[in-house]
Amino acid sequence: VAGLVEAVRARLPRWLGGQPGATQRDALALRGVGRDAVTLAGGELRAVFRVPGVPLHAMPDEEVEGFLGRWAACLNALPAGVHFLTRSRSGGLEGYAEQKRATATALATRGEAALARLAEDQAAHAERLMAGGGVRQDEHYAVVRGRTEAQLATRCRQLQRLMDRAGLPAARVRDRALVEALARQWRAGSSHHFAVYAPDWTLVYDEGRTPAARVTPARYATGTAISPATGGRLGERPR
Amino acid sequence: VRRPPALRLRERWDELRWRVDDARRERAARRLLSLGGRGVLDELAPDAAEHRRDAYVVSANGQDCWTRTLLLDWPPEVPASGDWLTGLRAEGDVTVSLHVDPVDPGKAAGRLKGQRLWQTSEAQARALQERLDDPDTQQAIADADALLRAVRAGRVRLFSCTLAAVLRAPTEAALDELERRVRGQCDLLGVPCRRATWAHASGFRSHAVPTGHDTVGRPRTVDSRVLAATFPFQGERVSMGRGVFWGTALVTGEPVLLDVRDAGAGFAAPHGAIVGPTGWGKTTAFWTVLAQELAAEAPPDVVLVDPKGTDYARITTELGGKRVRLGAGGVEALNVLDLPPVDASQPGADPVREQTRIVLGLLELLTAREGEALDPDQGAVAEDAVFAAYREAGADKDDAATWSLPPERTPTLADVQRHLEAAGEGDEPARALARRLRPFASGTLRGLFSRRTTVALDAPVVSFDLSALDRALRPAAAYLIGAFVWTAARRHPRPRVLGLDEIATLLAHESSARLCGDLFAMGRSAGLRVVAMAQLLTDFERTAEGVRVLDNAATVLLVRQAGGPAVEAAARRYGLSAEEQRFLRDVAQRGDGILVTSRGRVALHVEPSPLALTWLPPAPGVPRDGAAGAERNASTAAA
Repeated sequence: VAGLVEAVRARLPRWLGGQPGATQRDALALRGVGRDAVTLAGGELRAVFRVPGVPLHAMPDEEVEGFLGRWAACLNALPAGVHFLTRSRSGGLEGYAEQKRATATALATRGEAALARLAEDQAAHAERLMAGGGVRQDEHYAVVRGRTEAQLATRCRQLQRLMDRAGLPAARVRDRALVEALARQWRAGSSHHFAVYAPDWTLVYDEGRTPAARVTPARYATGTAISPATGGRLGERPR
Repeated sequence: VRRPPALRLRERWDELRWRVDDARRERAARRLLSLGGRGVLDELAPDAAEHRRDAYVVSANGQDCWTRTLLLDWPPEVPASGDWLTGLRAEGDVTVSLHVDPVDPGKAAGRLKGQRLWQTSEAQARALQERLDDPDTQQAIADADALLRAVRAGRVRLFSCTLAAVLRAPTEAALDELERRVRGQCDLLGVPCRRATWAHASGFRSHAVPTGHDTVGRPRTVDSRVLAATFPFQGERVSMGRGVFWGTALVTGEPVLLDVRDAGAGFAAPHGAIVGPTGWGKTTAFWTVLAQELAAEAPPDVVLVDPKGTDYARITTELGGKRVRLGAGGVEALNVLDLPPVDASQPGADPVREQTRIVLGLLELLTAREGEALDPDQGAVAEDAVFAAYREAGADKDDAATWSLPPERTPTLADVQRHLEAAGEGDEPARALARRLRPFASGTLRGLFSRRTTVALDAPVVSFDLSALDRALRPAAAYLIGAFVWTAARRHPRPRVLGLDEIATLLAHESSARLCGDLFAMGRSAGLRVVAMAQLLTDFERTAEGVRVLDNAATVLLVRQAGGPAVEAAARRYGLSAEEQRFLRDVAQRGDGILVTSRGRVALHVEPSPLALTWLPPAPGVPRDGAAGAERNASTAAA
């Protein structure tokens, strides 16, 4: 029923309150993103956990053996299908570079030219390192499946307990962090900005900071417009 | 140009209006989203998506992201170290995904029995044909038997797993190049891999997005031992994600950011130590960290001890600091008898006695033989002489009301020596001590040790150049500086950094070692962060005070060590693994090191910014451009 209502609503003209969906919404294969779970197109639920990295390379052999033993025990007791995922990419100094730039501006305003130059150089250095792949950041996730909310909650508790015992304290990804985790995968240009668009403005979320509002043109295609810039693909790029 | 007040008022008004408008728009946006119709999924969706035979392209925010899914298998022999997936990730924007579905033990046992039956039949068929036994079949039967027993006993479980890597790049050419590199890594590990041809979109959704829905995988059954050795979460735990950028972790490439002044993050004291032989990047590492602390909105005051006289000269000049050249005939002097302030908040504090202890330390450094303390008789007469000098100037050790002494009335070492000589008329220890003290109090070195303080810590950077001093006098000068900074820090507490190079000379004497221990143990209360540099870890471990220094250091950076004993000492103290020991002994290049903190330890390459690097004296044969540095990092990481 919800799908039907949505389909009808999407087809209504704007002046009747219709909101056409994004051109590639189906690509996500999701029905919705809730406060602490993702609903797949088929109705199954998924809970996402953020997992800290473990420096196996810095551990003595006996410690590695012990850790992997505990990890094997955790795997042996896994409730049901679990998805482990690690993304490694250039970056990790965005916040640092931004902070150094702000500091450079503040120092220059105070007339401390040498320190401002130093801060500016440090910001540029961090950006160069990120651009050249010199620094990398890793994101580790564990995803739990569930058919119902109750089942999902039970499995989540079980996974968290098992991972704690293995020395991997997993933290549930919720709310905005959950949306951002998905946005980082789907929106290539959103490495550290996640934007919510509306017809005449854009709300830009900056990771880890207070949301700031900006006004920009809409990104949705109107009517049958196909941008030549996309090489004939459906959908219009934002200006 | 001063703008007219009306214009400024108008600007203020506009700004206020814009802010109100922004807030209104944000509220409207939230209302719209809460109404439904257009939900967060529309915002998450890419602007364009394109399915190709060998790639899936998602475009958003004007950028294309070319993705390709490689379905991986396990290598014939899974390394027990558990970190074999890390190499695959290091090549670019790569997501390694592992879908794990436990197989029901009953079903697993059934499957294993079936497999064993099939292999036994094959062996029997060979026997009937009077052919020799196939060792592989025999081995497989034995393995199936062992696994079946383990599964039945509940020691091992079987899993249906899919392993995949999703590659991302901004262009098709870059994606091809990334795939070539990842395939190279797979070949090295013996991991078979193939493209998910025509299924890259499903591959992306299944393996790159944390939604746990596998639609393309070709599951393979593995047991829990193999699965445990395929550990996907290799990473660093040292970095706090904020603070000073120390460098890049050599194994994972993650940036190491630490804020050592954050007590909440588990750092008891903000101090640091850097250990390693000359020429392996101690000064560069120290300056890299210090430069970032300085380039902050509220930079600390910095005091540097520069034994060579060249290390911090340019830094001081560039930052408009003050360079103090200490020498026998120099114009600058520090008076060791300067009293710290009377701290009303600490009822038990006694500045006269505290400072007397520091003065006795200097006397010991100046008059006792290396490594020896003042003998008890000399210690007693020296203490009396110092008390007498203070009393004469108006500060009585037993009268708290007299403990505030202005610098112009503070006694000097000459006054102490005069009291020693007066006491020495019938007292041999006092006479001997006075004789030994004469060169420093009234002789050739009077200008340095026996004058009122002429130095003020009124510049952002103050560096003390000790190059004009005789090598034997440097420990005393460093001690004098340490005592001076400690007094100044207690008098005007604010964030300060004290850099002590060649701390081993201070740790060699009991009294100066005690001062170092005190600085590290109590410096935090006065906002002081002390960073000590030494060539060997054993320089610290030789004395109890040295150990106290290490215990209070939030960070210890071990750069390449001089040899076997040095590495063994580090391994003993910090429990370094065999690999880490090999790294410190043979592999580490200039700027590489192991950073030990209370959060763990990490092998890293220190990353100074280019400008900061130019402010240090050049080291022969060291490349200074970023590309060369990156190449060096890559080669070290590979090693």
